[in-house]
Amino acid sequence: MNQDQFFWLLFSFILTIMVFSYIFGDNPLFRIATYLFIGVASAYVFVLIFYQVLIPKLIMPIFTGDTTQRIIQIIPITLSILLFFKLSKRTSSVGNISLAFLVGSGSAVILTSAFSGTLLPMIDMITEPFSLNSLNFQKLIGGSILLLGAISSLLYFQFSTIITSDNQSIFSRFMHYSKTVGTVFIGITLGSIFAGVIISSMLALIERLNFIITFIYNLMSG
Amino acid sequence: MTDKITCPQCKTENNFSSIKCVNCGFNFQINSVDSGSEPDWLALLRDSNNEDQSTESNLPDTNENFFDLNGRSDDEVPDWLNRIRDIKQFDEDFKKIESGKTEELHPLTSTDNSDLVNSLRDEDQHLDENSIDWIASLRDIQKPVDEEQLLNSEKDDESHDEEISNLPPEMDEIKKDWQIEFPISLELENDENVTPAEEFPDWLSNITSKSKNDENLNDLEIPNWLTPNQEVPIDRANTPIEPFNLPEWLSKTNFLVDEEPKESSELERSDETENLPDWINDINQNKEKKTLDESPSDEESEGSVEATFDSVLLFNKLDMSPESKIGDEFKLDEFDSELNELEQKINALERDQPEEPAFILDESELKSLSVKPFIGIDESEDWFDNIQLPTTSDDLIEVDPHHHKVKPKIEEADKHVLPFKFDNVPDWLENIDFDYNEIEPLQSMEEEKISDSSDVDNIEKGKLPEWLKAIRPIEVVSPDISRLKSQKIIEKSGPLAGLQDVLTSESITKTYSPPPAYSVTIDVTDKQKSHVRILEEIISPVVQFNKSKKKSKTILHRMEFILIPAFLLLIITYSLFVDHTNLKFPEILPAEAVRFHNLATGYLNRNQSPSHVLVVFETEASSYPEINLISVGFFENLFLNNHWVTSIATNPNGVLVSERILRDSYLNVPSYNFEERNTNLGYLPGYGIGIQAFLSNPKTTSPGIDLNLNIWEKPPLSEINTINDFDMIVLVTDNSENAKLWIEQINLLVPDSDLLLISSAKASPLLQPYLQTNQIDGMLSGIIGGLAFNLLSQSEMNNIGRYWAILQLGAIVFVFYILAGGVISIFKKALTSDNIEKNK
Repeated sequence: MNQDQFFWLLFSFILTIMVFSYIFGDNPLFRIATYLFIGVASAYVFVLIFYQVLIPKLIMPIFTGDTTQRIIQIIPITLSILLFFKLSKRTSSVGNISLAFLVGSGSAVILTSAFSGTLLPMIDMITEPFSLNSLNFQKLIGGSILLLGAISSLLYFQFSTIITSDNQSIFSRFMHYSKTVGTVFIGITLGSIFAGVIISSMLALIERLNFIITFIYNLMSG
Repeated sequence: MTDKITCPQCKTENNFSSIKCVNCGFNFQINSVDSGSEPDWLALLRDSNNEDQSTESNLPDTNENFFDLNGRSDDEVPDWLNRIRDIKQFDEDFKKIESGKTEELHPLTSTDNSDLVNSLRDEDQHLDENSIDWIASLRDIQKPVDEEQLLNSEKDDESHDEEISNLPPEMDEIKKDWQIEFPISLELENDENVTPAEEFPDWLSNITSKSKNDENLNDLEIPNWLTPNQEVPIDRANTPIEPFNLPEWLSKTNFLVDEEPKESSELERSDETENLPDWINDINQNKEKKTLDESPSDEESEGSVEATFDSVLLFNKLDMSPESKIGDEFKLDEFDSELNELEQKINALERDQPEEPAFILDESELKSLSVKPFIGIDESEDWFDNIQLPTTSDDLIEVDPHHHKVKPKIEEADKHVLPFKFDNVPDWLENIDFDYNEIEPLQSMEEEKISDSSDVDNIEKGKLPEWLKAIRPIEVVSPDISRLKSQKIIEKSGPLAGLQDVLTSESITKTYSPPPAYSVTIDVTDKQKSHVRILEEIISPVVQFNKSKKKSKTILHRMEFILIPAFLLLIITYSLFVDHTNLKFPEILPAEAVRFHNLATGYLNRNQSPSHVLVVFETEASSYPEINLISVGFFENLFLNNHWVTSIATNPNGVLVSERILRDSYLNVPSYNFEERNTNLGYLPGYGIGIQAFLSNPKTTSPGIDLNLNIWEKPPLSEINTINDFDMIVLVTDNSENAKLWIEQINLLVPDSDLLLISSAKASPLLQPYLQTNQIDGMLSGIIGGLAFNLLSQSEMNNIGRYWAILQLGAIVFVFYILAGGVISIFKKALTSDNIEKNK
């Protein structure tokens, strides 16, 4: 282990201890570590974007590209300049042009990909157990549960007022029960996600503890 | 019809032989006298005047010229004279009835026209006598009227007329001035001299003249306080009747005043002058002094008459023509000075005597009175309170209407109904309580004057007799009004200086009072107070409960905040030092992991030449340990097979994470030419648009880390033109959303390419549907995926085995925490519900 490696291991060890100090509540060590991480990450992102996006994508084509590339570059440059008007409230409306372009194009891309890559495949997957060609009891049960979960989860997100009066219609009662069932499915989904978060966090904790113990062990063993 | 006679008075039928009406006592003989020979009223007057033949020669010339000038025949009997005659007769009968006498009345006869004039004079006198009589009878006057005194008073009256005719030259001069100033009014006055009204008794002429022309200036229109000085000569008042025994309207007539005895009138006058305001006395004294100075040889009576007339005419003259020439004796400046004095004295009187009763008599007068007085000495002050005295001589004209302010009220009342008609007795006389001893409180009026002003409130106003109420001036009834008027501001500067009750030029802002201070206190009722108490009782326990709950929650939270991670750290730390060589790994591996392993090893290794693998990193730095643990076996396998690895990241931190993971894998495979076969395309901006653009045209979209080097022209990427040129796409992600974008775009744009997914444990649940729909060919999710790949590839299990063991122990701890937290929350809810029920 050379000095550079030791320095960075020591620096990593100190920062790790500072972050672990949050066990005793919010303290300056934790804040210093978080501020340092945020600052370094922001600086890194700025450098990364400047050197990997602005220069090769926006500036270099003007100097190194042909006439067509230069003319085309006028559009992103103009839109980029218009975004600076968002800094002032008086001229923020000017920057909306660039934002409109970004949001419109992004929405178009995402919607098409979501419809073809998510919605249709999911509908196919839900209805597949009920296919007459491969009708199976187990699939039918699984498919029914899946269908029930999907429908109830979608019905859970109904944007209407909950009627609590005694004189409820059948439709309102159906919606009420479907919401309850959807709550169960959504709860299971969120629980699985939470379990995955815990596992991921625990692995990170184990790795950091292993690093600390290893560093201390190596430091003590020389 | 012949044996009945109808009474002209009350329309009652009586016997033809009856002399008087049974009902009203009307004397039928008056009407039954032959009108062709001689008017009965004339005969009546002659009879009545036979007793006093000596007075005929003393009649004034005006009376003698009356019928001549007027041209009336003797046959015509005026209605007023008939009425007077009737009243006289009725009063006599009434008096006789009251006194118990049953003797009949003597028929009246008359002889000639001269007797008529005498009878008129006598009529006046009799009328006066009668009027006094019936008033005295109504008020139980103990002193009957002496006819001799009346005769004496008649003589005095005649002498008074003579004195008037012998006015001093000053009065003539004033009259001349008056003629110059008011010729029309003088003509009217001259016309009145020939009207029958001049022949009427003084009181009647006063009334008739008032009714005819109010605008005509007359001596009788002089205010009450001036009337005695003017109308009552000292030597003419011989009648024992005191003017204070009469009503106000009677006292202002001449016939009553004329009958006052001289001595008594002198006393009265002296008393009046004593009780009159000083300024009036000053005026009278000045006039008398002037008169005496000019004619010292004249008699005292003449001097008094001159003084009175002089004062009256002077007032009239000044009122109407202040700028006219008055004479050498009377200067305008002197009068102005007098007026100033008057004003000061009036103001002093107003300050000293804010409220004076309408009738105040001297003690001597009160003692001499046995009936209710009608004229108070201070009466002039009452009416004078309402007078706005002019401050300049120009305003003297305005004073004149106020001088007549009181009198027209009486005149208007007497204009249509004569007071001597028995049937038309005023209401206030009909309702008189004869037994009412009203003089007694008046006798103590002097004491009331001395007493404090607060005692005035103790006077019961309701005990005033109705006749007094009826004749009271408005100012007495509502003294506050007159007081308010007198308090009006007099201009002190400017063109309107000296005037009263004008639009003031003073700054109104000075008169403003400060704004009222309003209290901010709230009127709270008892009910509202009780509600406030209940509300406090409701709120206060809840607040205390919340505070205790917060304290306990804070302590528990701190304990949880320290104990849970400390216990977890203790367990994990202990696990790190435990030997995990004998660990039991799961026998059933996830299917997606098996598919992943099959594609990664079998598909890639089927070709003899190295394949091109695109690795997309969508990870944060925090996910590095997990992602590195999961993917390390896969990258070692790639490096061992010497495949071309190209990495790209849509997350700025993903560039660093990818570099670190690849380099860590490279450490385990040193034979791999990492610098040559590994290409890092760096950060791909634009999110979904960038992904779509990169998948559409990777060469033009993806940047190069080294700007000076065109990486797409180097050997690993020189063969790549589209995304389909990559043999396999491996998506390493810890973010399900970004992974979805890649999956959707790859399936949309590059549906034939193989897509493998390495995801963290937290992202795998949301990516399972894409695995179920075969959009993902294989997936390593979480540590179990990495463990499965290592088990299938039979690679070393050093770190991943340890971590797997520690993670299992840690997972048990977390399960314990979750269960403990669930149980605690259930108990907390139960305790909370119990507390709420207890509070309720």
